[in-house]
Amino acid sequence: MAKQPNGGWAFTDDVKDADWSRYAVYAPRIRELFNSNWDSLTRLSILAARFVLAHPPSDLQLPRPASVEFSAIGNRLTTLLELLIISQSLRKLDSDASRIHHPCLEELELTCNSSNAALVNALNVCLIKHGSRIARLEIETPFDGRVWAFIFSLSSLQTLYIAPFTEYGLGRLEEIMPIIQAQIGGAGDGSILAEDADPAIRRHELLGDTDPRVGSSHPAKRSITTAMLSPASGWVPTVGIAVFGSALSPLDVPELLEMIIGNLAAKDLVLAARVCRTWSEPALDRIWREMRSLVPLFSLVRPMTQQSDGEWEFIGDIKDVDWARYAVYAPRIREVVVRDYDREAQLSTQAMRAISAHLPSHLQLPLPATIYLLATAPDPQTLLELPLISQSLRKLGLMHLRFLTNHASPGFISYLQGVLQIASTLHHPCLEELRLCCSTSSAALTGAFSACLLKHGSRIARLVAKFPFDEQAWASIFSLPTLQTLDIAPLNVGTLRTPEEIIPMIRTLVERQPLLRSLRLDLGLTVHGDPSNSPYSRIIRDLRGLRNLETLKLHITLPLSLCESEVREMGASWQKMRILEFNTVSDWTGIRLDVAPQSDLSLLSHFVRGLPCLEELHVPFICNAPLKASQEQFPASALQTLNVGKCPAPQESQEEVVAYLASVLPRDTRIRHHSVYRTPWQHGPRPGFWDEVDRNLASIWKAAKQKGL
Amino acid sequence: MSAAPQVTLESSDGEKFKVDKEVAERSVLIKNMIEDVGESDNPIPLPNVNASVLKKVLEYCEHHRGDPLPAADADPSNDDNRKRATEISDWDQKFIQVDQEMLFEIILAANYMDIKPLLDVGCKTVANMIKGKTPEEIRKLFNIVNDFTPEEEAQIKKENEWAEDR
Repeated sequence: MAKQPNGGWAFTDDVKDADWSRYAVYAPRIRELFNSNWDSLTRLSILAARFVLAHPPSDLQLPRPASVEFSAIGNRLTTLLELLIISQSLRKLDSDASRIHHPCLEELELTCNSSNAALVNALNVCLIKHGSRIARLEIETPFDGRVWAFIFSLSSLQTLYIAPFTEYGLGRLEEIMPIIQAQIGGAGDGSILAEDADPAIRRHELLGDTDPRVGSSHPAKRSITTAMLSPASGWVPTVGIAVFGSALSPLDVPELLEMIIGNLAAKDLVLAARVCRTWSEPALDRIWREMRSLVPLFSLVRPMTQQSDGEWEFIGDIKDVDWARYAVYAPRIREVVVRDYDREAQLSTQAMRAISAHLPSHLQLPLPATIYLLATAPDPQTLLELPLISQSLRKLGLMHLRFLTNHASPGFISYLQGVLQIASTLHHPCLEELRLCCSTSSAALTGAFSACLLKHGSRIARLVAKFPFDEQAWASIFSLPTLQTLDIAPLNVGTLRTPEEIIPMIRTLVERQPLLRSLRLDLGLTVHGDPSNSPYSRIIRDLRGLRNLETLKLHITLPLSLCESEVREMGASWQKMRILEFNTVSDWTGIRLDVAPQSDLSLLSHFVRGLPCLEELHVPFICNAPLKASQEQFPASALQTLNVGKCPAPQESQEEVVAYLASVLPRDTRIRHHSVYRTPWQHGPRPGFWDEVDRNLASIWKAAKQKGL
Repeated sequence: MSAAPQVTLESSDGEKFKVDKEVAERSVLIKNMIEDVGESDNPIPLPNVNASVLKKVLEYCEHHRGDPLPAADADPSNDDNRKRATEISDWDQKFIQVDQEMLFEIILAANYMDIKPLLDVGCKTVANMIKGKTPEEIRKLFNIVNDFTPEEEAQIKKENEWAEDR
């Protein structure tokens, strides 16, 4: 498409049948549409919209969103009516929806600073059609007594915002109050308080707003706001005036109430759930969203008792009537974390079988979007006994925890394989994140892993894979088309490998996944001979081909000696980099490199200069060269944290180090370190050296701020 | 050196505030308005925010003018992001020490103007007001009517007791 002189977008050529091949991949995903006739960047031209309507392939549909929001300035035509996107799928709309067959709208908003009989009539027809379902209504356009009558006949209405007066004609609150009071049962003594004498915007507040009959929790009308038009107002012609309550409260706005409640701890959530019905829903959603055990859910079905091995069993047989409260909570479960070592949270195998056998046909097991299995033992059966893996799944994590042994048993590996197989037999691709961490592997496990990636590859954006890779595993990762975040530890836990074995794979990864945004590599490698020939820098050089990287964390057990030109080249390649970590410890294998860092702290200025988006930098630095406070004016930098790793004894005094850092780092950068333990090559600094540097830097910056520098 | 570009914001009660564009653009709403309409000398109307609230919001934006903008796609499951999300700086805590009416108006304004960090601070502050209070105390604090029957409330308590120890 090309942008037209009038701002809309039009096709550059005739649309042919073959052009629609990718359309069906995306069109059905559109659930919400915001349409404005003034945003020329996104506006489809009327001609284009008509063209689409004139040439639709018979087997395709236009998007069928559940929510459409349209805003307009002036008299420009809209594509909303041209493209017949209003359908039975609609739940929220701010325009004409009366042509739909069955009532479906739950929310209607109409804002227009003038109106005519036709518009008012269309509004009435729409209210008649959808009146049985509309819960939220916002009308900011002049309307007459007929609309009032329809508003008061809406049987499901909970929230009402109205601005019923004519443009440029201030309404009189006295005219409207008797109508409202007659409908909702009065409000105090009905007297009016003129709160603001400004002639342009008259604000009125009705006394008696604390009257419980009309307060913010009135059961029938959740909130009512009227608005009057002001001659002085410009772009947006309405000014809100609260009739009940001095202002709309964030507690009356569902998404804000949800945010507030989202900050509560579990104990407070239980209390919040008892406040009122409005609070109860988001609080219960929070409580039940992440489950560490399914025992609380199934205890609602039938009382349970804990057996001697700690697992939970039903008391007596489950009957149909026992499921009455189950459906109140089960659909709220979005994340299930199974820890096989937490026996007190586990259902017994018999209990799981009883659930599967007795679940009424009209009910479903929880269908979480996230399942994490953290397991130590070979027999965590939950995921196989209870079919929780469904088309709702978005994140699956299977993690073998190595508390007791480095090696997973064959039984455990075949269990992981079984879960992956279930995920790979789902009907449609749905997984967006997969984590598989297991210190040992088998051909069958990598086969199941690859089959899972094959099924869900078109959607997987985040992959964590820590197990010994074979070629099939590598090939599956290389071929993922939408991968953005990759965290891999592809080598054996027990043995160190040589760089030559892994470097070709890294190069292929860079070639096949050039759009990666985040990469974490954990490699237990060793190099024979002169440590100054360490290939760490070579690996970094190869990774510079990933130009979109925002996060790079390398945990490679090889010496690292960076030089100025290398840091400059990093800056040229990684302009979006936000988090950069070069570590010499492999977390996955537990191997640590016991060699002193070799990258000089004076390189820091090149990082700051070359990587402007960098927020966190972690490099094992050393202070070999004398440090001098820089006089240079550095460009703006986003750096917030500098981790110097196990940076050993600076030869300089602490004052010189602080002066250098203060001259190079952006204000308020925090210094972190790993020098808690002294190693044989570490000499000189007190254990708290870098903590003191951090404190002294903070003091310098605080003083500068106070002086207004 | 040329002066920083400025924009004028107009509150619902007609008061005009001239501020640096960089400060005003902490609000995604204003940033988008400027991008959509282009720079102009006309004041940008904010019909949902009165002068006293707008003044307070701009004080926040001014203090945080240089802060990195929150990433739209920040992964909340990431530990670093989660940690940042639960922290309120000392300055923010002091800033948000206002009466309940002003606090609510700041939250509504932050939501309307799309200033996510300010919205977070406001919501966390309300959450702190709720913490440790009984349902009855919460109702009293916010003037909420209990629309549960005693039996319904007791049932919710019983069915969710397990979560109290989490």
